[in-house]
Amino acid sequence: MNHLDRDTLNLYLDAQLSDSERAAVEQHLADCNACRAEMSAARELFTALAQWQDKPLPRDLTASVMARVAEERSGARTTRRLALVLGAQALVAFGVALWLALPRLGYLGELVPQMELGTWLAVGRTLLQVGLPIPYVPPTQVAAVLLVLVLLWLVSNHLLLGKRDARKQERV
Amino acid sequence: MAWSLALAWHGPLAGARAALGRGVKLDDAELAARTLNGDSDAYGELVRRHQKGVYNAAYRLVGNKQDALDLAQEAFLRAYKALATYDPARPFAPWIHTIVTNLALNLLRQRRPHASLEDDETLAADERAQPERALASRERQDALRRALLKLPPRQRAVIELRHFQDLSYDEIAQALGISVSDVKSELYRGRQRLREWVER
Repeated sequence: MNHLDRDTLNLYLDAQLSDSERAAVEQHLADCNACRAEMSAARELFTALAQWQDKPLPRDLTASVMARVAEERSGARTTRRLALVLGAQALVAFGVALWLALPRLGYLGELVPQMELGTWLAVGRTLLQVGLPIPYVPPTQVAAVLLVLVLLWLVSNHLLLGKRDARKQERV
Repeated sequence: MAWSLALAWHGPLAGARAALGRGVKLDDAELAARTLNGDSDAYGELVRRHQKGVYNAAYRLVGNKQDALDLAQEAFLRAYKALATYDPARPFAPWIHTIVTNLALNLLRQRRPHASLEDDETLAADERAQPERALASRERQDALRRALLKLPPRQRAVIELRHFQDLSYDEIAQALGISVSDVKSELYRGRQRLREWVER
């Protein structure tokens, strides 16, 4: 008689066999003492694992988990605010650059305020292909714009990150 | 259902704490949905419900209280971040246990495995009631605990997910990123070793 292999025994115990396979195994078990003994030994392990007693929790984790969750939420909020501020800064920088450049772009400068979206895109494509005209901007104006942008950066970072640092200090 | 009517009456702004305070039993899927809508009390309740099970899963895998506590906390934080990927049609427990099992596996791969579990400091209720019978059961369980910790990490994880979380072969394969045939062979080898060590 061919005995059941251990793989089949495991699949049987894990209820992974089809109905016909299961019936065949049960038929074999009814006729074979050796396989019945093997199955019984395997079942003992299953029973021991099923009777496992959980340990008591050494301490409640809710408060510490929720503190970390709060930190995570505030971090996510800061990142969103930072993205918003960076976006605003980029817009301001673009606006200032455009304001400085328009009077110096000649005929293009006069056209820009009247252009529609399609024209904007066409001009953008052309400029990408032929290169941007580089207008002359006096160094004092460049320095002033840079100064304003740096100030904006510092102020917004202080507003965003200062609060987070203060919260960290409070926790410490 | 009564609790859903009660919630409707109190409106959407009523938080999980208020609902629970009125004796309303929210299920895990409802708590997860409320968490995603910004109700952090709801997540607190999920942690309270599942912390013991998650801690014990971690403890079985790493065999050390402090590591198990750290892993359980980390698992809840990861679960919070990934809550949008949780399928509310399925139970929450196997999902969070899969997370803690993977975290424990990573830890075990980085470290040498512990030789044995720490000694138990507490006796279970039935051990106090029936000392002799309980002692035999306790000895058998201790032998099993020690044997479990001698298994290679992946076999330990497969045994954990199959026997303690009742995951199917397919679910285990998906959770651990291995093939179903690997699950079968790891389960088979793991069980063989456990039997040999426990019977020794």
